[in-house]
Amino acid sequence: MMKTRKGYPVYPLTVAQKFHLYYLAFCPKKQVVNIGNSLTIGTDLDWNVLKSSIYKAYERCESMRLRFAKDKEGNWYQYVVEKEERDIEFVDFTGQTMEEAEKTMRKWTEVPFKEEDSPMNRIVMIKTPDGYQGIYMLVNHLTMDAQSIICFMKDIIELYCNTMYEGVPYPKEMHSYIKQLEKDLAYEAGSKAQQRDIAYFEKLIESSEPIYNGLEGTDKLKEQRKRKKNPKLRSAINVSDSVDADLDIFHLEAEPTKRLMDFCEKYHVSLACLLIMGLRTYFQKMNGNDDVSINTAIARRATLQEKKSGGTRIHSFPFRTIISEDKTFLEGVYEIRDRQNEMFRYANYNPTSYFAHRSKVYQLEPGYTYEPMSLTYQPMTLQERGLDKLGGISYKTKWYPNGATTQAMYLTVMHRPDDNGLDFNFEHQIKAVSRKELEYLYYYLCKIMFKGTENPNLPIGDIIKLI
Amino acid sequence: MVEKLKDIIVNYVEVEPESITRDSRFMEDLGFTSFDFMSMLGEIEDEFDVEIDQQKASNIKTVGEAADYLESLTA
Repeated sequence: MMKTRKGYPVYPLTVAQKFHLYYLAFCPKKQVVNIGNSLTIGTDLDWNVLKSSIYKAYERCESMRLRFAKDKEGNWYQYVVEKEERDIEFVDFTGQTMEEAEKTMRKWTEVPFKEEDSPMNRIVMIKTPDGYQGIYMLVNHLTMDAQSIICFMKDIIELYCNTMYEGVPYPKEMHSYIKQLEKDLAYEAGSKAQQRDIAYFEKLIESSEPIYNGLEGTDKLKEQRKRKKNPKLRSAINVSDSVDADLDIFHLEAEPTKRLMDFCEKYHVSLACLLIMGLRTYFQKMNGNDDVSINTAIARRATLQEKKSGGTRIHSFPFRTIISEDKTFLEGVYEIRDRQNEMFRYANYNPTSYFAHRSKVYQLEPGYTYEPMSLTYQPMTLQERGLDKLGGISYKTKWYPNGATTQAMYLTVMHRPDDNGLDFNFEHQIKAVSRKELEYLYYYLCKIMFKGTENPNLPIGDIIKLI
Repeated sequence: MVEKLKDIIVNYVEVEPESITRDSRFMEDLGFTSFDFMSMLGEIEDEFDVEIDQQKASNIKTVGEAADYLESLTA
């Protein structure tokens, strides 16, 4: 076992990090763990101040200085180097079209990182053809997730604004990634809390076998039952033989988004609950099952230390609900809220163990699943995380696909920073799910959510008939 | 109890303890997410050595309601 590497103490990976390694092992395209995004501002930036703000932000964020190494047995370890010494690149896209500039950044997002003893991120200062200026940032998902990326971006902006503008306070300190890591590893080393979480999830898994619901209905399950000569088969292969992926984005305007948010505020439920309700009702309509499962991501950032220590913390678990059609829309939303709140309390459980235990209990063959898709709702935007310091200056953010995914469909719902409307980002395997299928899903998802929020006491069965 | 709760709350959201009152709503006023709230309940269970009822916890909206509920558990 390694103890130090290049003079720095080494630590094992957390289960959240190992989950990425788990699917990475089966994926021929190693950029599957890349996350690329850009933030540009409609004003002239001082590049020297921006550069020093980026270095300062590196200094304040340990997980942006993470490196990985393997020991003789092939186990991965991580360590944090003292400082970032690379030059910060600058690329001027002036003279090109926006499409060309975005295509270049998309290409950057498709380049995998060197695995050992190498930086796991890339930052480029950019000037885009629309006259905006800012940064493009690429990270390895084993080191950062969406929330820590936003937190890091916010830090750069606040550091920049502190230098440039009078009266802008110096941002509060970030928290130590290593300290949080030590806490997580202590939990994973057989703690009482871990035993409690294992017991909860194993009981949940063993309660009864879920059933697969297809995006287009029951055809896929029926076909696989026939092929397997097993009329009782409840799982299906959902992915294609190619990990090549595309990203299709659907925009919900600010006003209808506000109506959904008003419903959530009135009934004290999160938008994530409403989205799950919309999605599960869609699958219920298409498949005729009350029993619906989709994968949902839990950010696991509650304390300020968790929120401000960077790293990757997401745990994804199947979220199963059995809600009959005679229940009202609101009863369904409340059931989801209660079940989700319950799951939150045990969310430190190892997601890889979840799938391994479930496969054992129900004798699942490799590749077979009950979940047709995954959902992440990202409530945090830069609007509330720093860009208010820029006053009325407009800005743009963009996330770039890495061109590969191991899942058939992954929906990330995020607020647009400029108008707070919702963007539905569908990352999908090109061979597994078509744009037309996504349009159909998005259309009915919206219809269900609006019909339900306008008539919360309407039975789910009536909503399914009416839309 | 409210004072003890304040000490815990400031570990979850960036608010000044003096701005927290009995009427402060966890979500709307203090900026808690459902996950923050449920995680905090776990910490409270450990700290006060009590078992919190999931259903009752879902109906808690304000710091005062949380304090009253905790007092009923520790009485």
